[in-house]
Order: sequence, then C-alpha cells, then structure tokens
Amino acid sequence: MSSINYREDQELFSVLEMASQEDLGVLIDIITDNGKGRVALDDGVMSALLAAKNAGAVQNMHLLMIAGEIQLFGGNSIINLFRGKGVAYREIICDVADHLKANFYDNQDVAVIESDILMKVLEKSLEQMSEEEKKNFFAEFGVNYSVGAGAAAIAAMQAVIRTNGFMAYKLAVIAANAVAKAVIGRGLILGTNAAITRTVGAFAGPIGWAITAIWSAFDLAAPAYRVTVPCTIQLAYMRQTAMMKKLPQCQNCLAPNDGDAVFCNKCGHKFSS
Amino acid sequence: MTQKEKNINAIPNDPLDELIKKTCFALGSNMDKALEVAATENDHEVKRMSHSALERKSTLARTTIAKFAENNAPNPDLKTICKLAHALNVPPAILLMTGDDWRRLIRAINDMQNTVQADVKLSEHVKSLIKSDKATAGLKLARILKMYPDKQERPDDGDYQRWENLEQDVNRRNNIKRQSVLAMTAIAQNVETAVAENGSTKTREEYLAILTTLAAIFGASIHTN
Repeated sequence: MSSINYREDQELFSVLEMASQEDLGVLIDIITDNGKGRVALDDGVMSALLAAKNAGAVQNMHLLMIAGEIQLFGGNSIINLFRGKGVAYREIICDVADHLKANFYDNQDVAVIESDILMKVLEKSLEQMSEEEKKNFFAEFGVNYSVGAGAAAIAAMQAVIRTNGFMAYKLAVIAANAVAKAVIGRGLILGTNAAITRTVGAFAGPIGWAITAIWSAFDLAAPAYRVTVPCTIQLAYMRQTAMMKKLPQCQNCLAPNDGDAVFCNKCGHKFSS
Repeated sequence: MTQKEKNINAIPNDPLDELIKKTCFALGSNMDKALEVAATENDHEVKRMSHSALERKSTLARTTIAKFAENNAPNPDLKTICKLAHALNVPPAILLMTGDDWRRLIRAINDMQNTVQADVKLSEHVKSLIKSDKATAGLKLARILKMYPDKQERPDDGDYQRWENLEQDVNRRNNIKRQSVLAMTAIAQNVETAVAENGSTKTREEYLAILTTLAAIFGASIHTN
C-alpha cells in the first residue's frame, strides 16, 4: 500500500475537489511523466494514480495522493536547510513566482499569484511570436498591440485579467493547453465552450515553446521544477475553471457574466432576475 | 545580487566577456569580504585587515591589491591569485567563485540531498553506473533526473520551419549541457584520486558517488542562453 504524504492545504485541495476527471488526468500525467515515472515519485503512488486515471475514477484518496506529491515535489525544489518534506502549495507557487521574477506579494490570493506566473510564461512566449501573432493574441484580450509595444501591451493585459474573470480564465486555458501539449504531448479536453476552444489551439505553439526556454532562463533546472511549474499552470487553469462555473451563464449565448450583471456582456440578453 | 553586480549584468555582451567581468568582480568582492575579517585575533571581535597589512602578508604590490579592490584587476596571473589565496587562507578557486556559481552549487547540494540521497535505490544505481562507465555516469544520472536532454515537441499544426529552428536551438543547448555535465563529472572524479590515498575502498566508492552526483546536477544546471 502506498503511503499518502498529504498535509492539510485547502488552497490546493479545494481545486482538486472541484476538478473534472479529464483535468485531473492531465495533472496525473504531468506528475508521473506520462506513466514513465520520476525520481522521488513513489512506485505505489504512481501505479495507483495511473490506474485511477485510466479507469476515469480519480477519487478522494487519489486527490490526497496528488496533493501530497505536489507538496513533496515542491519541498524538493525549494532551497531549504532541512531535508525535503512537503510544503504548502502557497509556498510552492511563491517560490516559482520568485524564480520567474514575477511581480507578486506572498500574501495575495493564490489565484492572483498563479495569474502572475501565467503572465511571466506569456511574456517569455512573446519572444516566439511573430508581430502578427502578437497582435492577434492581444486582440483576444481586448488589448491593442502595435509593433514594439510588447511591455505596454503586457501591462494592459495584466490590468484586464485582474479585473475580468473571464479573461483570466481565457489566459489560463490557453497557457495550460499549450503547456500540457508541450510537457505531456496532449492538450486539454475542453467542454462545451466553443468560443474558447477556437482560440486556444492557435497559440499553443509559442507558449509551449517558451516552456523549454523557461527552464534554463529562470534558474529552474532542478528536477522537481519540471513537475511543479507545469502543475502550477495546470492548477491555475483548474482553479479558474472552478471559478467560472460559479459565474452565471447567459441563457442566450452561453457567455459567462459577472454575478451582479443585469444584461449579458456579450449579446445584451436581459437576465431574468 | 548587489547593485554593482546588477550593473554588470545589465550590459549585454558576448558571453566570454561577461564571464571575465563577472569573475573579475567576484575576485574583488571575495577578497574584500575575506579582508573584513582577516586581522581577527580572537573569537568575539572581527577585525579588518588593511591593504598594507595584506601587502606585507602576501608580498603583492599595493597597486595590485588596490586594483583587485576596485574590481578592475586587468588580468591577474595564477601566481598572484595563489599569493592572495594563501595570505587569506582560502583555496584559490574560492576567490574566483561568483554568486551564480555558489547558487548552482547550493542548488546541486539541495537536489542531491532531496532527490538522490533520499532515494536508496537511486543512490545504489549511481554506484552501479559509475562501475559500468565512470565517464558517462553523470550524464546518465542527469537523464534519470530529467535534467537532460530538453526536448521540443513537434507541433501538429504544421509550422515545421519554426519548429526546426527551435529544435536546432534546443540541440545547441543540449550540446552545451552534455559538455558541461561530462566535464564537471570528469573534474570531480579526478578529485577523487586525492581522496583515495588515505581512504578505504568503501570510502572511495562513496566519495565517487557523491562527487559524480554533485557534478551531474551542477553541470546540468548550466545557463544555456
């Protein structure tokens, strides 16, 4: 029987609890390196997770294992005088954000720190985009981009995702899909939200390519970061998905809206109160 | 990172130039830090050694020492560095260590303890790797730790031209990494001969395993851009 090393961590566990089987499957593939296994990953835990994933039956016990492994990998990557033991998810993402030189405060909401990490990954991937792609990319987020205005566009986009839940979700989907493709070789399985699905694939290349560059550019060479960084991005997406589900959807065009909206922000349909 | 070090980093230069500048800066600041405590005579009060005292102790010229302190030592030769190291009671290599080198070393120790030493099976495996081929053992370990090589997924949308360019770049990085791991392993294992003289076979094997592990992780964490 494999041991579970999970220690109480609601910021991590609450996301796993609300996630779909498909999204958990991606997380399991990242942790187990597509079933090939990793150093510091217990064999028993690995086979239990893979079996649960293949059966589409990832249960509470497996969620505890996933959370425990993420905490352990996080503990291994963080510089610490004490031998590696699991650390809280907040500590893990603060460490990653720190390495990526993201602008963040460690007392912020974890969702905000996750967004900051996504923005940094995005910044790196802009190097891989043509001017046309950059323009299209920023247009997706309602930000005007003119040649050479990368930094300004990034700042504008940061403001957009801070204030608009749907845009934050969109960024998370695009990034998580690209990273999953690059790391485990397959993208996310997206549900019914057709508006998102169309744009997600278009930017998979550059963002996925950035991930390879990120390891050496940001002092993230440690083996454990190969797990924690993609996990963080996948968890950011899972958290945003859970948050989106709580937002009311327009009955007419299915666009998500803010909780207190009276009219749909996309088609103008009036909500029944 | 100090302001001075930041300024050095801010200037984009060719990598060799940058390495020389960083090392020169490291030499100056390491000497300065060592001097801060070099005249201490008891356990509870540290005392700074003056440049003139260092001049007497090291037999280096005052002007040379001053140049070190200003981080613009033009090109100190081996003898000068050794004289300085000898006077300060530190190994010459330590005087040349940059902040980045220390960071990589600490990371390597951290990863060695948390990832390799914590795993009995892997620790044993490292020894068997060394037995079968000493030279490539570090490279194989880096592979097991998934630190080498980096891979670039082939896109399914057909943008192959760009992918090929990227793959070339990834290959270039992997070549640097491979060289780094191999060279580091070779150097670390060479150190082992010094250890072997007064150690038992068992100790020797342990040293070799630790040195190889440390060298593999240190080598694979080289900055490749």
